[in-house]
Amino acid sequence: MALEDRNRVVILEDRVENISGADFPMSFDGEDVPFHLEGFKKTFDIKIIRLTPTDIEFDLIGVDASIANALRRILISEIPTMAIEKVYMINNTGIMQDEVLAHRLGLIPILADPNEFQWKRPSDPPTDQNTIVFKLDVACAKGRDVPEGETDPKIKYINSSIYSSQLQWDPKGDQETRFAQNPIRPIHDDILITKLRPGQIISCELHCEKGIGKDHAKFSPVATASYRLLPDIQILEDITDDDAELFRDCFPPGVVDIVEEDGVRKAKVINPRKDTVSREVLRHKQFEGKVRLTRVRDHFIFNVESTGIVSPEALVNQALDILIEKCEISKAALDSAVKGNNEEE
Amino acid sequence: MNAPERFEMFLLPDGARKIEITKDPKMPNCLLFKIQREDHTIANILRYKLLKHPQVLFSAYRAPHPLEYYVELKVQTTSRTTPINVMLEAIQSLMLEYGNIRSAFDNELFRLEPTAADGSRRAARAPSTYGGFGSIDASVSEFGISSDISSTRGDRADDVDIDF
Repeated sequence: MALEDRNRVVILEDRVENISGADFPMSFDGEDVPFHLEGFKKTFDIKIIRLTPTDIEFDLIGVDASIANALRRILISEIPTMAIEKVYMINNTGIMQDEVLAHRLGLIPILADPNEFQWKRPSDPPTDQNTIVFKLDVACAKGRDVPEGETDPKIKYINSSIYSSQLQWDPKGDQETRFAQNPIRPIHDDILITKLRPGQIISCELHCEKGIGKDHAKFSPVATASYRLLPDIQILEDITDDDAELFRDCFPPGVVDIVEEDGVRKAKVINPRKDTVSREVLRHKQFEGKVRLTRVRDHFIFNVESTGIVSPEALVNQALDILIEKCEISKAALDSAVKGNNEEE
Repeated sequence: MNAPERFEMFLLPDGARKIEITKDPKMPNCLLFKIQREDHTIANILRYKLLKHPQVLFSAYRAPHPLEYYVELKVQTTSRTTPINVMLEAIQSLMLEYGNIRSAFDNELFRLEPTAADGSRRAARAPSTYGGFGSIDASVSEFGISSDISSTRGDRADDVDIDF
């Protein structure tokens, strides 16, 4: 690997090169690889690109893939939320079987601050500190004054479609006062749970518990959490006139622009971030040897989309806290393991 | 029917050690760390950080089976130090790095939206479940006994049993 390519992943038409990082001791002559924080601080940077109530896009620069990946894994599977875990079916005469209905109910995101609740182990009894109760009591009936020949079930029948807004929160203990400011409810009111026809009823009690995505995907606080590497398009030789136009059209709009320099129209990369690295440009003979597609190996573009239970910036903060906590636990465990081993000897 | 309990994935069984250390008989100065109830998340970072250490000769991990919830990390060092020492150094260094990332993220949030960022930080930090980075040195000593480690994150909240 050449020195200037040390943090570039090179994309060729049929393969990808320089995939593994080389920031280990003795990879390059006379290069010192920093182990401690001072070295890390020199290269590390973080930038928030976009922040909305449900989404965040940020750049994590100067870290290894293992750290970016740990963050992603924790976001998906280790941040706790509340979700429906137990469904006590009292009556269900609808077309949907009990277990399918229960599974659908479980996936509804519930707006409740998970930090306000305790973990519930299988042996623990349900209390107002670890369980949220919802009721679903619905019955479908024929509508009144329905015009002759009407075919739309929404007009013909009452409660023909059951939505998440029909879940009734049943506060226990002091929950009513604890959550007076922000009552517990499904995040979205318009999630279709099932459909009924006149005479069919559903009556059940739902218990929400605290859990993590590792246990079941319904506990995952993110809709998506992913990262990609920043693309870097290197033009090695000027691309002019008609070729420049073809070159520009090889990329998504806004990546390459044509600028005029000394009376010559040249292709210029203006925003490589928008590139999808489709490799279209490598299919054309006239660009052979003139362009190089690369990605920056230590520049991660993170995209986190929350389900709405926890704000995206709080999610990233919590993920980092959990990562630190994992290190703490490992360190303490290591200390005690060393102690234990010494005693045995 | 014979499916493993779901909580076995992240609850350390009673009496089990979080980390078991065994010597590798075939390699000098080499230890095998068996870390219970952890996965690629922490093992891969440790492997990477250990490889950066100048005294480490070999460091690699494996997750032997998807239904056995542990990872094995093998570390070999030069004779100038021990695998346990470099492990401690690596973990310490990682914690500092993450603290750095966290404060950089907070600063960035504050730069973006001074008021909103402040509110979210309060929300994320207020619960006792997640101590901020500032509390690390103090909280490490809490884990002195192995029985403490067997508890999960949730156990730290006070146990209040109110039946309804």
